[in-house]
Amino acid sequence: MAHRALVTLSMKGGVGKTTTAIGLTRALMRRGLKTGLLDVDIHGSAVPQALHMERAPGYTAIAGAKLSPATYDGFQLFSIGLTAPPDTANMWKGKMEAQAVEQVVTFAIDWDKDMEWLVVDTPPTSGDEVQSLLEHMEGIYGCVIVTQPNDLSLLGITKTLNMLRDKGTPVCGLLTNMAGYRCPHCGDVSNPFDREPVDTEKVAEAFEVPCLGQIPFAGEEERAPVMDQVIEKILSTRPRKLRKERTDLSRRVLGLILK
Amino acid sequence: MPTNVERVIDNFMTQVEQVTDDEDWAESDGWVGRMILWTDGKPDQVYVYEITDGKMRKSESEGPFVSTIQMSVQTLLDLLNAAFRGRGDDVYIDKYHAGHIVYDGGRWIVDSERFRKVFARLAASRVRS
Repeated sequence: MAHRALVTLSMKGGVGKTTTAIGLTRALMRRGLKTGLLDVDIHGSAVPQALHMERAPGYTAIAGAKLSPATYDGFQLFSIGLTAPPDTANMWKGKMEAQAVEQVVTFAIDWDKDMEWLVVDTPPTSGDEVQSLLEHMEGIYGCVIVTQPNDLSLLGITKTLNMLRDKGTPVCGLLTNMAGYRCPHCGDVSNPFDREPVDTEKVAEAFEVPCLGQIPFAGEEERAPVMDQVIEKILSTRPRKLRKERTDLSRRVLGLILK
Repeated sequence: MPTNVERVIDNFMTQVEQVTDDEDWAESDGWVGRMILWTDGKPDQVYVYEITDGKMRKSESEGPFVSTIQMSVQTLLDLLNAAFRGRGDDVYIDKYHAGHIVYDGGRWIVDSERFRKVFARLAASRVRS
């Protein structure tokens, strides 16, 4: 597999991983890089709805026994969510989840051979799907950890970073999403959450990982230039694995952000 | 003497053969799969199929199996009943995602989409129960 993968992660749901994954995909494409989007969220797949896609008529097994990805707005896309009607609850569990992700990230999807980047949207868990992804996916360039400025999400960052440290997976950095809402009437920017976006920087500093930026609570048009800066930072900073010896780090970080 | 379930499966497989051709299976030559049917919460019947020379046929193979598919007899009957009525794809999706059809094996994501393709073809043809 020649392409490099950028994986969006967060232990907390609703922080905007899917929107971020789509934004990263589009930002890479704006740089002229051929990019695909893979959604491995089996139970809460949101990419099809976020892109307003109808249920696909089913994927067709093709030569080489792979599945054809869908094409949307110039990029290739595969989501398990597209294989079933949107109101169908997927009740796979355990081994079946892990095997599904393993197949999807290894051989099962017929991505274009000249694809350069693959952005991966993940479920908010450290469970089977994410474990399988981190263990089986080749070419992971780094993980983008998405957070909101609130306690629960910051706590999720520390869990995610600890998991990535244990797995030895490279980290691109932390990205604060929904960082401020600009009132369309008075223009003032307010923070709807209980933490300041700058608190993400404290966690980043403690774990010695970069802060990739702050994405406003706004529509695609306003987010796009910030996503361009985020991609610039990701591509210009070499992702690195976290050091294993910092075992007391989480507690110090928790003391910092939760007091 | 084949059981009623065996007869229904054989009938279904005959019709599958009618809507598929060598090209459908060519890429899977050598595939060996196993279907385990459950009755009263216990594995009860085992059917083994293989794909060779562009045909899917019953097999005496004892493995290794590329895929193992497990479901209750009732789920299978619901599925085949739907297939004979041209709704196999919809019912398959529902049961597949609901966990009533359980897979084990290294490539069933692709295989399951292949099953859907067959069900869709059956719906477009005149199948008989």
